[in-house]
Parts: sequence; structure tokens; C-alpha cells
Amino acid sequence: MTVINKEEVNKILEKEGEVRGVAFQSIGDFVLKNKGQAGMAKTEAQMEEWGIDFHFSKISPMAWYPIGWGALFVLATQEVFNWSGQDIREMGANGPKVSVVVKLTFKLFSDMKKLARQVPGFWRKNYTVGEVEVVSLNEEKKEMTVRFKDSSFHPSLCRYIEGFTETTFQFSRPKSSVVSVKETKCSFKDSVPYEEYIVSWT
Amino acid sequence: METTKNLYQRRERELVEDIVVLEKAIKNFWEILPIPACTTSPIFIILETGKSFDTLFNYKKDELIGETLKKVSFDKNNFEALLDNLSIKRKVSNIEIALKAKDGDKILALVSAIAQEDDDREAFSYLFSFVDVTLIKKTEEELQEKVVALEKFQKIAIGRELKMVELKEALGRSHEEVKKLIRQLAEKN
Repeated sequence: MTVINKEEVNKILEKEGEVRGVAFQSIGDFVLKNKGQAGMAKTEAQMEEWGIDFHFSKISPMAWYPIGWGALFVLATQEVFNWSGQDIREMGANGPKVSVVVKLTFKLFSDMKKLARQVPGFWRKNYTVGEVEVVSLNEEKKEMTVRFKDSSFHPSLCRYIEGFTETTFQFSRPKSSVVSVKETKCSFKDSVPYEEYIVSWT
Repeated sequence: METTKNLYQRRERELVEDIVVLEKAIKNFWEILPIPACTTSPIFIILETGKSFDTLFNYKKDELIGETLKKVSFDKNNFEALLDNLSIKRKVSNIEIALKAKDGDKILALVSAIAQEDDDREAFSYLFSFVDVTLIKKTEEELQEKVVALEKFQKIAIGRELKMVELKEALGRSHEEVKKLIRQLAEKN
């Protein structure tokens, strides 16, 4: 099954902006854990087929890379391994567990107001375009609405963000608390210029 | 002369280089640190573990990340009391506590921990270290048992010696009495 066609790949590659290498670390770690070095070679070959000279071992966590590369790295794994949306969600969920720098710099306050204030800054530290906004926080209902603006690439990436956000919030909640992240509005389906997610916890 | 834009770009490049070096150093530190250590979120969800930590508790690398630190507690109540104390004081040192490895083995450890705080003194993570004293405690107990046994033996040995002295004296007295009796008999005859 083809996840993305050449035209869509080119559109993503044309997008302006950059992403830090740390984003690739999360994806690469998941590929290596599940498919090993051979799986990584296949993913790199797929990237090369799309015209991207990409070698995971050469990625530096704090260096900047074209923003499209990050999205296409995820999509290349999906293309090569026929991974489902749920697999990509799990890849995203693995993300916050990987980078030492991310774990050190993203301050996981248990106070939700303080944690919410961290979210936009975390995006800005790692992406030169787009924006993450906490639209609402209802501590009584235990719900937060988060919008990702100007960072639409492919519906599969929405699953990645769901998983990534879920683990990040789970880190700041007691183990007995169940954190759930669900996309409620998507720029690919709902004619809105953003992706919106509801984070809820028990 | 270097323009302001170039200066900022150069500074950012240099900072990035430094962070990369620091990240590698931190990773190596976790790998080589002989004392089992880990970091947690403010509600004690494990974020990072060192190799010695995984070895001590018999878990695979990254297996405990995202789990609660209470997973390694042996006595839940004692452990929760320690965490409550840490939440208040923000630092604890060498608290002896029983912990539990993956296979259920009891581990006695001296736990130290410190909070990382923001400017408002709100904790955003904790750093823990666990010094395994199981072997030291076991040796101490064995040594104590040996001391008790030695004391018992000493008591018995000294008791026997005193008894022998007593017997010797009694024997001496008996000797004297026998001699006295022989003398009396001889005088009569």
C-alpha cells in the first residue's frame, strides 16, 4: 500500500522551516528497536528514492534540518513496513522516552497550568515554523485543548502527535491516571488551518 | 566587523555544539555511573535510568521509563513515606529502605534524592541514587550472629573453667580430709 505519492512528497519537501535533529532521534529509535539496522537501511533507501540524502547515523540532535524531512522520515517507515496508524501512534508514544535533552528541558510540572505553559515553548525550541497553542484548560473536567498551527504534513503525522503528547502528559500524571489524546479537528478533513487535540486525564 | 545577525548565528551554533557535547556526556555518564541512579517527574514517574540502576533491579534498558518509581518498592507504606518526606524537604540523604528487584528479590539500599526546581521553587524533576547495602547488611547480620555465638561459647568456656577451679579446690579439700582421716586412724591404732 502506498502511503504517499511523489507529488505529495514534493509538496512536503517544498515546505519552509526547519526541525531539530532530536525529532529524528525519536523516530530512529523506534525503527531500530522494532526493525533493527536492516530496517533503518530500508527506510533510508526509501528516503533516497524520494530524493533525500538522509543518513540517520549522521543526524545531530541539536542541528536544524528541513522540516519536511522529519515528516517524510515517519512516512518512509510507514511505506516500507506497511505500518498502521496505530503503529505510528506507538512510534510517537516512544518519542518522549528517547532524548535526554528533551527529558531535561521539558519541565514536567504536575501543576497542569504550569505544564500547559511549557507546551508552546517546547515546539518553538525544536521547530522554526508553526505554533502550538493551548486553547483551553479545564482542570475540573480534566481536559486541555491544544492546537498545532501551520504544521500540517500528512494525516499519519496526526497519529504521531497523539502518541507523543499522550506519553508526555502521562509522565506528569500518577500511574493510576489514564491520559488520552484524541484529534478532534484535522486540517485534512475539517477545512480548518490547524490540527486540534483534546488531552484528557483521569 | 561581525554583524549582529552573524554574531547571534555564531553564538547559537556554538551553543548547539555545546549541548550536543553535553548530551553525549550525560549519556556516557548514565552508562558508566557505578551508583544506581534515575530521574523522575515530580510525581515520581521514571524518566531516565542509569545502567547500574537497570542492573540492580534486573530490568532491561528503558523498561522502567514511564513507570512509577513505586514499582521498585518492597514495603509500599515505607516507600510512600520516603517520597512524601522528599516532596516536603526537597532533599533526602542515605535513608535505608527495602526495595524490590524485578524477580521479587529484596534489596536493602540507602536512598538519596534531590529535587530540581524552577524559580518559584516548584519541583519539575527528581534525581535519585540507590546505594545497595544488601551484602553489607547480610555480612553485618552474620557477624552479629557470630558475636552472639562467641559470647555464648565464652560464657560456657569460662563457666567450665570456674567449675574446674571449684572442683580442684573441692578435690584439694577432700585430699586434706582424707589425709586428716588417715592421720586420725593411725593415731587410734
